[in-house]
Amino acid sequence: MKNLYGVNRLLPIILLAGGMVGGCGLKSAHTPLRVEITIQQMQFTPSEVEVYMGDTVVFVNKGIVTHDVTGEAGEAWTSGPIPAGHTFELIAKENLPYYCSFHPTMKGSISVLPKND
Amino acid sequence: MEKTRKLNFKGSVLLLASLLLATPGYTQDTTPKLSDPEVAHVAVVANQIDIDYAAVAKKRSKNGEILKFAQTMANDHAAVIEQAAALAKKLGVTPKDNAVSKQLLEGAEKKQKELRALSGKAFDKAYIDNEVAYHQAVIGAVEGLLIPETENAELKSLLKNVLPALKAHLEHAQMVQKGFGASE
Repeated sequence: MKNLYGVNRLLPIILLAGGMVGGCGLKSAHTPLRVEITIQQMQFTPSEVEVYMGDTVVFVNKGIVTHDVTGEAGEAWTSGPIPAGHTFELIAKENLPYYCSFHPTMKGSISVLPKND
Repeated sequence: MEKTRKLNFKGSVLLLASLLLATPGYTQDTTPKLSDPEVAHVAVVANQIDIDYAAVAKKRSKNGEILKFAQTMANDHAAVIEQAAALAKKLGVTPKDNAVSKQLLEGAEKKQKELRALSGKAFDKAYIDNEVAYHQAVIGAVEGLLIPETENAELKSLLKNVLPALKAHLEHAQMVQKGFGASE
């Protein structure tokens, strides 16, 4: 279930913005977006996303128990506990395969595309 | 809102009976009647039992993986109890003691006694084996008994929402169990 955020749904807006910026003689650039990943029913949804570098990824815990987002690479990085009803945000900088360290069967990944400038 | 329907103890529910309700006289022919307050109480008791197992693990184990699993069980099942209590309050329902919850507690006391007699790797293995068996039994009971027998839509919804967590716990327990060598 792969989503390429910032392209399909927002293409008209991006084109419009690009046209306006171009008209002013400035270089067009990708406007950072907010991408939401829902935590519910013991799943990250969508489990795989592609974003541009600098986009904000928001994890929203709509479940009934506490979760976290932990990097697969040896738990070197973790969000810390995200209680039910809370959110956690990160700025996309590099590819991040992740899982929930409390419930290791829950997995996901964020693929980061280079900035479009 | 007392229910009078008979409970159908078949299929996976028998697993609960065989694993948890190993009480003399409790047979397939037993047909207890549970009201929604009694279903709510069974759900709370089933969650509390796993919190109690986790408490034993935190005292008896020194294994990091077991301790982390036990803490997750304590936290998650406490969260479910909190939700159940909030729902009961909202509905003006007082969870009611009943034959099934009593037998659950009796089975749990016996298992806790067995676990407390163990230490080291023997304890860790017995604990995680029990977690696998317990979650299998509870999932069977929730799917085959509690959800079908619940009349209140919100209580039924809560039970359905809890199932994915129980299944994730089971998969997690099975992952940990592999590290100790499966018992079956």
